[in-house]
Amino acid sequence: MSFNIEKLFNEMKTGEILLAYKGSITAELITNVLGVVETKLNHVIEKSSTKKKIYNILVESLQNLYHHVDDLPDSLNNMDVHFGIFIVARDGEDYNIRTGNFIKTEKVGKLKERFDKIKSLSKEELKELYRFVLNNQMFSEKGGGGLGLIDIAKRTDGRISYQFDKCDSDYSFFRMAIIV
Amino acid sequence: MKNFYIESTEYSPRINIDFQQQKFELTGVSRPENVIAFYESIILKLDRFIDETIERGAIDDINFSLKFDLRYMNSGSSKYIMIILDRFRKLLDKNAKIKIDWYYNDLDDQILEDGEILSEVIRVPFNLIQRN
Repeated sequence: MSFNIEKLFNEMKTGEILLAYKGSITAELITNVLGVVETKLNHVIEKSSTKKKIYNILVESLQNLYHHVDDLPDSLNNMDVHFGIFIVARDGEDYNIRTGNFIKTEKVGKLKERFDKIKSLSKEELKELYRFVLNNQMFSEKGGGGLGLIDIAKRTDGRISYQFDKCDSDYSFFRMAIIV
Repeated sequence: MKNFYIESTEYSPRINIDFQQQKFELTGVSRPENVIAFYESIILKLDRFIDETIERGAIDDINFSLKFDLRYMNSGSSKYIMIILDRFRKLLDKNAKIKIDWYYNDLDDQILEDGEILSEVIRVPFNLIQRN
């Protein structure tokens, strides 16, 4: 397999790393990570509104990871179950939150469409979409409320980028980077 | 109806529903590991209360105070709070009295914005109250 997760992880670790994780994404892990991040943010960031924003975005992106990771079949890889990556880094004045996970390639088109749509919306339009989903959409089977990504875009003025890398014929690696 | 109480944890709020005093309170941090499991139990209880009240023809006696005193909530919780408010709206539409107090910390608090959006969507005014 030409796809190399170590290489990719290293590529994602640019800037001053505050936190980097790769492995199983579990509910327990999220709880522990948030505790660590809260302490760490208290040390490095002065402004309380920035801290809160990063914390909010981290919660939403970790929950997105948790709900949307697809597991690679055992035959393909000896990856941890529910494998995901996330990184919090500082880059000058900006803070970066980066996540990565495997998804089935058949889902790529739909996800791209959703991202591009959300990225194209103005602040007011994002608020409008948020209100709509809040009021109308049911929870998905995996327990997602459909608001996570809209919420992130709303808080960061759409400063989200994404990338897909093909792993094999069935799976792709999905990367997302959020600038706060 | 028996009161409903769940103690808070680091990541889930304290819920206190006192049906005699007609008080509903949600306090703390809301990003439970399983947002559906956590909030469905509350909705179920509210539904039973509402059905019972309607059956008894006792809507006129309803004068419920809702207090949301949250320091943080995730988007999934927002959605469930919306569903809770929707249940109370049902009573409001039948001329019950409902008062909603929504607490926030400071003006750049996301909780304030979340409250404003919820109030707009549900079309019920909130008393937005800044904590001291």
